[in-house]
Amino acid sequence: MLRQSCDPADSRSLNTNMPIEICTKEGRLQANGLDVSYLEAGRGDPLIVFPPQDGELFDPLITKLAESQRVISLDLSSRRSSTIEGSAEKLSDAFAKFGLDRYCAIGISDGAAPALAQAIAAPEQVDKLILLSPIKLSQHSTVRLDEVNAPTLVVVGTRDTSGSAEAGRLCREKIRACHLSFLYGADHALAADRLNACLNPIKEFLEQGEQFIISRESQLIHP
Amino acid sequence: MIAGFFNTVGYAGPWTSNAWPAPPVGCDREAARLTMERAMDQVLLADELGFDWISVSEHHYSPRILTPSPMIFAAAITQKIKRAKIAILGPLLPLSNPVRVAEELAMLDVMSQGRIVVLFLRGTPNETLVYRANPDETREVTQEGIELILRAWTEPQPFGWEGRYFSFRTVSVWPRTLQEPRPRVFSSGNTPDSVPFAARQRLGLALSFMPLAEIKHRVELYREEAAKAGWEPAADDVVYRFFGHVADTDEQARRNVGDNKVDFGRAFGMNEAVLKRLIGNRSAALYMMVMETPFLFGGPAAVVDQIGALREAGVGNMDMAFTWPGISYEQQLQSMECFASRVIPQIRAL
Repeated sequence: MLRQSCDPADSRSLNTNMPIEICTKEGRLQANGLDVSYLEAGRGDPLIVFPPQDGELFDPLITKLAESQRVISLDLSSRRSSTIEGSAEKLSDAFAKFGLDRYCAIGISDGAAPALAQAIAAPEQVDKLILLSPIKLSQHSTVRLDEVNAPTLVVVGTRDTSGSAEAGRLCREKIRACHLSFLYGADHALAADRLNACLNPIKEFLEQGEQFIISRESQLIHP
Repeated sequence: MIAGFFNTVGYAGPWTSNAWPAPPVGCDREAARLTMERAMDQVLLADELGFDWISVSEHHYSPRILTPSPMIFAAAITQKIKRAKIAILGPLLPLSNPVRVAEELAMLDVMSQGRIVVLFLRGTPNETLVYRANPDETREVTQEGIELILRAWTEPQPFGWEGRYFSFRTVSVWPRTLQEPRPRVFSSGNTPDSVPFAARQRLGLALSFMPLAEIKHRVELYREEAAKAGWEPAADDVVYRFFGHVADTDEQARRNVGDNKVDFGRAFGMNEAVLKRLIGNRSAALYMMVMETPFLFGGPAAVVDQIGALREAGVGNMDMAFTWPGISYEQQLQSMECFASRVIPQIRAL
């Protein structure tokens, strides 16, 4: 059940403050009794967004990513995070039914827990995992971090006192291919504080995977 | 009161020019060798005399201070003395790669058996020309560099840094510092705007070459900001760098110093382009200052009184240069000995 929309008024049932210039589709993912609303925008490789429970489906960062990715942002606002985490396998089935065999996943704030659960439950689907300001990681996920196979990028603000840095360090230590990056001067809301500085490593990670740590910038000053 | 000896490593030969940059042709090679030899002799003497700290600093392109790389001089010191702390006050972060600085300081801390103390600085105005730093950005660059270095010393895992002025995808410093969690770090408070940063980061505060009233004001501000950040600095969290000269009597000290003054503008050989750029800059006042006498000056009793006033202003940590125009190398040594034997024992309890 999909419908085209470029009018934010059409998405009034969803928790979003999406900019009007983003053209979205609204729909529902359904499988094995699971029923999740989503907003979709952009073209390119698929990127599944697990937004914060009380946050926007398309914040400025996700909106920018939709310029180069097919972004599908899940509306998890009406669910308890533990319910979503426990539904990872059903969600995998729903994605498969939807035609998404491989995708990247991004979890923001308390959306990190279900994103991690997805990477653990469906390693064959999750190509790369990005966690922004991760908090409230469940015991269930943290003991299984070593099962995450997807290359992972964790970004934490240097002024964030919510516990994200500790969660990021744990991921860096336990996940096989995890890169922890500190965003200088940013608080928990990374995109609100330093949008472009946050966007740059994420885009490069999505494009290059683990090789994003190797600079491609020329050091030549005058050819 | 902590008593530190600031080893300026001033050029031993005659200065042929007050211009900045000083032309390298004016540097006599033998005089440069003698400078290093004397500087190391002074280090050994300071350690033997009981100074708590021996400090070095970073300046460029001039005979005033021949340690453009304080790390190299500090490395040599680590192999010569085994007691005093080695204070690197300080590396100029706008001219440096902060990760490299973190690595080198960590090496020094291990080489010195954990005796490193550090102050990170922006550099004097001329030095913005050295490796093309923008003077309008040096404070922000320095503060970001400090945060990056502190993290590089304490993060247990490799990490990336997406800063405003620095970007590193992979930082993983080896060796770790011997001191745990890290060496003691100071940050400059020479302009009031810089003081809150030091307090917020729970760093020591470093002041230099300013009158007593200004010192007092800065320390009060530092303490207020620290209270806001939920902590209370100790007296030795405030270090003050200055010139001093001690002789057997007040009269002798007066004769040694004579009418010589330190004109900072001339001493720094302020570059004309920099001077024009400094107009309206709050840090400019320091570099336009003329000092009539050393900050501490006189016989032992007078100097003890002056240190008492410094302590009352909130300073618990002195970084004293024994140089002054007209004071010979031999007089510097005599002044150091007089200070160590007749002043230091009386200021310990302050």
